[in-house]
Amino acid sequence: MKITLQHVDHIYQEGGVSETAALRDVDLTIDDGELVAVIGHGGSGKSTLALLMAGLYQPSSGTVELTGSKDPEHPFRSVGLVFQYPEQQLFGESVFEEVAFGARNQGTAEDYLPVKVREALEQVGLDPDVMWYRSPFSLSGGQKRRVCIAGVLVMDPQLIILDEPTAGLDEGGRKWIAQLVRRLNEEGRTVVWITHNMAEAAEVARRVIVLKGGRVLLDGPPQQVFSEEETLMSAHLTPPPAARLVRELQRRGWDIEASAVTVEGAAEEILSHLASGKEGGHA
Amino acid sequence: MLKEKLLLGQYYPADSPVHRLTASCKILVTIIYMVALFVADDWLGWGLLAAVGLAAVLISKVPFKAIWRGMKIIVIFCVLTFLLNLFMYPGDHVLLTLGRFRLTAEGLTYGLAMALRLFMLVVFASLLTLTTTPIQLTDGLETLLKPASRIGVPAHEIAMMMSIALRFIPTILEEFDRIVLAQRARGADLKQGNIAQRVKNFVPLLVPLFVAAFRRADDLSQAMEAKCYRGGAGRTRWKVVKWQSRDTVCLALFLLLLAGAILERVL
Amino acid sequence: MIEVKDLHYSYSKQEAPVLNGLDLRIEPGQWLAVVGRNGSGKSTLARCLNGLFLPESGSVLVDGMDTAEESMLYPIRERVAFVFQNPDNQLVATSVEDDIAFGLENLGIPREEITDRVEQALSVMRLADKRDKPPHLLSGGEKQRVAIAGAIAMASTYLVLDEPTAMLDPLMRLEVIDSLTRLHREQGLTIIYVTNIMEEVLLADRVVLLDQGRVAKDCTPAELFSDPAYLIEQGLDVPQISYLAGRLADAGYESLRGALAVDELADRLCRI
Repeated sequence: MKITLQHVDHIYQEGGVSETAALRDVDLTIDDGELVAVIGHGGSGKSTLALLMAGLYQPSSGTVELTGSKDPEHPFRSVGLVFQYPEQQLFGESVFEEVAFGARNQGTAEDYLPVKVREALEQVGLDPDVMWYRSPFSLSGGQKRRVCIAGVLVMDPQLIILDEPTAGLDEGGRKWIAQLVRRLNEEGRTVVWITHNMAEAAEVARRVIVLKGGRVLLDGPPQQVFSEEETLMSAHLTPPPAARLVRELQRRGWDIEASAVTVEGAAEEILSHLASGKEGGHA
Repeated sequence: MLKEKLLLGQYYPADSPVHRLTASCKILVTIIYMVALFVADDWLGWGLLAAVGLAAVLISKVPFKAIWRGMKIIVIFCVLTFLLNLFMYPGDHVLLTLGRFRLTAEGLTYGLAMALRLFMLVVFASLLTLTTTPIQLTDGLETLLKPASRIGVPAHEIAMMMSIALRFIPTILEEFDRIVLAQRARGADLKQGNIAQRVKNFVPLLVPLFVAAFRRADDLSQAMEAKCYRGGAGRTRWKVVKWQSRDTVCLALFLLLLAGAILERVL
Repeated sequence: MIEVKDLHYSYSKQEAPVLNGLDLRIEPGQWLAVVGRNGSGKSTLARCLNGLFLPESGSVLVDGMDTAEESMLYPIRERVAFVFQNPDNQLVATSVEDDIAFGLENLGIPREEITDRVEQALSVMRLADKRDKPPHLLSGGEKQRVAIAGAIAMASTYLVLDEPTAMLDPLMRLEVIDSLTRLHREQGLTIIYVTNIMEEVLLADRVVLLDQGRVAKDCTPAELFSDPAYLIEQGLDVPQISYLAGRLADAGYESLRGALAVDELADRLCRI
């Protein structure tokens, strides 16, 4: 499913969620099957963007259009949004009830609910037989996060937006989320990942959009975006350390590819440079 | 909007002698005025009190429109009170007979008086909240209740509770907004179904709200303990609004008014 | 000095103890980072230091005062200030300056002195222009700075912070870190900093890693990060540069091991 934003303004309305900032004249197209990271600080408008894309906010002016939805009458029903700290919205008596909520709201038949809930739980790596009757409140932080994501996946969204999905999780939890997101994307879903973690964006996304003060500051593949160090600094963002190291080495005269923005990429570049240096003896 | 409304109550910011009075003085005066309204029993008293009330409004620089905004429902009550008294109050001077109902001169007088009393009472009470912020009110209440703490009234605790409520109302409302959005993202439709269904629709909103409130309460009590909080005993009140001579003068005037009303009734 | 001796603590009798014979000495003037996976006992230890939690056995002494003695509890809390993780749930009063004054009011300090101390804390934390703001109109970083200002006003000598930046975005995180660094340097405040963000550990003189309620490692940040495999085993993040340095060292460039910062690693690479 493709999403197109044209000349979107969103004026902050008093009484809304306080962290949502205004958006100004945003033009953006995210194609079917893309995996995009949206980066920006609090107040950059990234959460507002998420709410607009999910159809929960209406733009003050401009249009947000979805094409290729399997439910053309209600296209926004094909968008799933995982909120920041989603476990703060848990309410169900059991994991089953919690996950079934969205599917039930969609009008899924009661008989069919268990099938869908089972599928969703398996997608997030939770054992349905163990979890089914447990209270979501009794789970660990990481498990709660998974239940919340299952609660969105159960609606089978074609476009899935995750607002800071790794916030508050440990290393293991973050790695797991990154894997899940890649898999969801491989299954053919369009994914928008909102984060302030540059390293995460570099590792996961194929396209990075940087927001600043409600406007799109940069938009392109991670290699390109993270090479714009000065522009990023103007938004108080710094490229991930691995990318900064590569840039620093370039500045010191190393002949290496600036496209290395991940740890693995940088390690390979540096090792091959060191190896060639041994043979050829570089300056 | 809702957030600001709850936080400021209906406070109307202005620089007037009424705004400058301390909250405890204004609370006392409001009580005295209300008592006087019910003690007074003839048109001279009622008229005088109404005049005093209107004068207070004029001095406060609060526009009549701001007061009127909060009065609309009250006016309906006033009219109802008037009508009830008009037909129910026993009296001999029948002015008009409508089937079983008799309209008497006593009923007319009493009905008008009751409606006027009610109206002025609400006007004056509104003036209190229009010229005093909720925080000042809390503070004033604590000052007034302080003597009562000797007989076991938890004055400090009441004030503390009110102030914590004022502190957290905006935070909780924000949280509620977020929960509503999140559940709508999961397809929740709050306006669907019959009444029973609608009540049920609120479960996904209220459960997380309560869970969060309890967690907050727990965190906050730890934070208070960590800052050496141990109730009102031995505690300094940093910002004490000083009772000024103008407060004394104002209070004296209203006590005089009350005394007059009592004398008039007794004599 | 804070001395923790053979500290045991559990939330209930049914559950395994959270702290299990923990020993620790914190010298004044130190910046100590406390790390460890979820459930390792970091937050519990932090709450034992100011007597919010009392030891089941063992003891916690703050400048010689025992937290187990009830009469010592308030003097201890005056000395050991606490900043919590959730910025929203620790501000009690309806304005910034009232919140800073809250602790002082509780201690029964005379009014004029409260005014002076609040004024000073506002200026040290650069919050003077926010003094009348209600907490809900502050950013997360500002809320945490107000909490720290409360500690300064109390003239505490130890500041315990329990993951104070976990809920903040990077910009606000810097804001909080900057003010702490300043306080540590200028006022010699002792900082006990519980965190899971490894970049923040680099600020400390000393880092203590907790595992199953005991001190598993007590060393400098550089020493801790020189062994990425151990960090991963402990469920901790490895900073990208440390990871990269370790990865290159494993490939035969041993001199890179332990590099912590971009420039440092670049320097060492250029020397090969």
